[in-house]
Amino acid sequence: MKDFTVILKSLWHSKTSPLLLVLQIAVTFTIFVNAVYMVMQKHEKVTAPSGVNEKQVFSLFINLQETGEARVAEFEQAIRDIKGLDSVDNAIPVTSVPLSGYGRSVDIGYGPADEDKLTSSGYYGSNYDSLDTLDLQLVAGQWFERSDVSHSFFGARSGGKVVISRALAQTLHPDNWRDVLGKTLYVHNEPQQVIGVVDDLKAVWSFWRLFEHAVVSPTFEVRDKVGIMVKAKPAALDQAMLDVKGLLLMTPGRQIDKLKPFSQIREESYRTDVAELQTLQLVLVGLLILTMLAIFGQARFAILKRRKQIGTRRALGANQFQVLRYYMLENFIVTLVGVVIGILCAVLVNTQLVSYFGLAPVPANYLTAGAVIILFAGQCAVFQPAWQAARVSPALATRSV
Amino acid sequence: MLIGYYFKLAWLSLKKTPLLSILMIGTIAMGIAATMITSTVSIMMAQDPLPEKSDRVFSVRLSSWSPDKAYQLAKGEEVIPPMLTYMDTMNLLEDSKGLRQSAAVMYKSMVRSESQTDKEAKMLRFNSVNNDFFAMFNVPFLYGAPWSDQADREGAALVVLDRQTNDRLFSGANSVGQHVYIGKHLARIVGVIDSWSPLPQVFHGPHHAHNLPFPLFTPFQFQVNNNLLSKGEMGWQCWAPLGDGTLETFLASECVWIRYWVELEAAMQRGDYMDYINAYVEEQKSGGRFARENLSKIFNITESLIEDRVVEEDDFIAVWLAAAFLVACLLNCMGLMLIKFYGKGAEVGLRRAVGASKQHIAMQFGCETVLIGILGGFLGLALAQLGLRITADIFAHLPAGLMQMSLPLVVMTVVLAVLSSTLFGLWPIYRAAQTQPSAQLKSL
Repeated sequence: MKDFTVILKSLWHSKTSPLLLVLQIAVTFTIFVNAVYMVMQKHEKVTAPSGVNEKQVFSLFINLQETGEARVAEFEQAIRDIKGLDSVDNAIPVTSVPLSGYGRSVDIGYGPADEDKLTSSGYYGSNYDSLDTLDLQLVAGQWFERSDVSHSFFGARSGGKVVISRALAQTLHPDNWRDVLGKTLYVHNEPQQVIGVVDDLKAVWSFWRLFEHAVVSPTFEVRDKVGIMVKAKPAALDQAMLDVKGLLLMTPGRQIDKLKPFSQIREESYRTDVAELQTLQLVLVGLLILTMLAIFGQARFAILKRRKQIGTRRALGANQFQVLRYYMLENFIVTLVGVVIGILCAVLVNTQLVSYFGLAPVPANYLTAGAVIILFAGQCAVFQPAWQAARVSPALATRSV
Repeated sequence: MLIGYYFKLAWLSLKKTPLLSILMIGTIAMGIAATMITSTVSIMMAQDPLPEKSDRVFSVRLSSWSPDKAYQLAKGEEVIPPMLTYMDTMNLLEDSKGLRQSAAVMYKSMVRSESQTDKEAKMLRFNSVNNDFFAMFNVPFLYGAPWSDQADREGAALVVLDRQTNDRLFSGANSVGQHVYIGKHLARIVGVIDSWSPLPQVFHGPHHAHNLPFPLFTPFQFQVNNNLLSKGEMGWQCWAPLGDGTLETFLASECVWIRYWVELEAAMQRGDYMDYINAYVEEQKSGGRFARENLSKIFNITESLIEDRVVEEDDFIAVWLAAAFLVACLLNCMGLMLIKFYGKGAEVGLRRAVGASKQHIAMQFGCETVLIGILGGFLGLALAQLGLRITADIFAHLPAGLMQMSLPLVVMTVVLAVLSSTLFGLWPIYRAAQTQPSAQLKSL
């Protein structure tokens, strides 16, 4: 590596343009690493499964016009009528629709007082059929009995049973989430026995910190406006939506709201995230192209400038490979310095982002991977100009220019 | 004269090294475009929706909350509820101390024309407002006019449609005098508004700020008379128990659910109106309400955008990212200029030898950087337009008006390109001007 000291000396001799490249690479690296990390986080978020059978399910809200016990009968009849349709597989009442932004959260703890609160969770008041309708996967314990189902005006009644999502169980018992089974959990200050755990069920707001926490209770709520989720027969989603709308509107004074397939709910929920993701990806591609162009441009013209010097080296016995190696190594050193400064800047910028915007800190492996990518991109960009240089004829040295 | 000659030289010089020129102009254009796209979106998100009177249209907020605790605390300071109770709204409307005043609430109901069947009814959102609302927020009418003061007080079954709804239900014809069903109520159409999408939408609070406006308008009293409260969506809040949950107890309660807007004749009257509000609060205090310290405030439109956190710091994260990108582009361009001017050492030496001063050389290369900046600026403008087109596709759920560059931004784009390329060209120009005539001539 005797080239190494020669390169350092020559870089030191004409500092300005390598220094600019170093700065540019540092800036690029800083933006690049932070943006890639944001892209990865967003990508993970928008592609995460919801735990619900997304192809066959749709949801809607209707008004109930009766009062008192007659309202319970009206709601149960509406659900029965929907289940009776040919295109419909199953239907349940719900207090919340996953990912839709419409629904609520409850406080969770092992005691009734405010101080006993451990965490919060999304809440689903439904009935026996929710396991089948939403295609939930029971991973521990058991499901409700039909006799567990009851109704209320708001929330689950004291002393009932609940099934919770695995993520919530893991928050409550980090060492062994199965320990939650059989425990008495206070959901919204009411004691409930945990009888089962489902694999995956999300809360209502995709931007929520505790998005993966969910509690299912076999208590459906009978209010003036109620939610229903319907599982259509395979490949009959559109037909089922039409049938359900037609059926419900046969009752005078009936209002239907937010009749949407689950795929649409999902899309709307992540719309802003997807838009930001696409924008960030465009910026990243632009940035990478720009950096490669910059390295390419600077290398090309720097080499053109040194044609005579290269010719002399060739005349003195350097072979093509040695010339190629020289310029590749020079680029490597410049890029490396840029990356090192870039790592420092990236960490600094990231700590600012973390404290001002509440973003997560970038893990170290992103810095390493970013460095490797930028170094590789640099080598790609410099290869063509360096190859051109290597092909400079030794005879050039003997000419005047 | 001489400047013209320098620009001619610059143009020739650019043509002589096309690849280098394209690289320089292209990188500037990319950086400028990225910065302008993100700035446009951010500026549009945070712009003033009613510039001609944003300093004299006010959101009225009363500290009518519970005696025991504050409505909210932010940074240690008490936040007052953004909405009013029904009682206070009616009292303020009764007094009519401003030039114009209006309540603003939303609700939802099934809507169909008389000729449509139940099944064709659609769930739509309503602006529940007073007739002053239209003049206050400059809502343009295509057909008809707002309802009368009397209809406002009585809560007559009258409705104003937006253009799209009119197109859908009546194929765009003048539908004034026709009827639509709002749930089970038959309402007469008094007006159709023209295309109108204020950005951000300030009057219903932050949740709806960047959505399209709601398609229908009915008198506030009509909503109240017919119990058309969409409580699931309104964002109402109470600090005292609600009792039996009937409409009467809700209206008589201390629950807040109505945004209240007032337009004054001039911004100067703000103090007078505030005196009136304070006097009103004192009067209510003597009647046993408003137990908290009087923190009542009025916010003009710009202030309420900040108070409601429609405009936030986060909005500018993308602009900072793009500005950093622009710096990377300019550094790149600077490096290329250094190489370019260095490569012209022989030419500079010759010119210096035949009598050109350092200033002349600096002028010549200065013209070249300006030319690069101008070309980069215009190319950047074109790229920015293209980028905004793509962004508008990506953010298709936002109003289309958001993604449009204003004329000042267009001018700023080109100026920014020229300024930044000149600024980053200073060092290469300085270096070029330092060239010694003799050193270069020897090698020639």
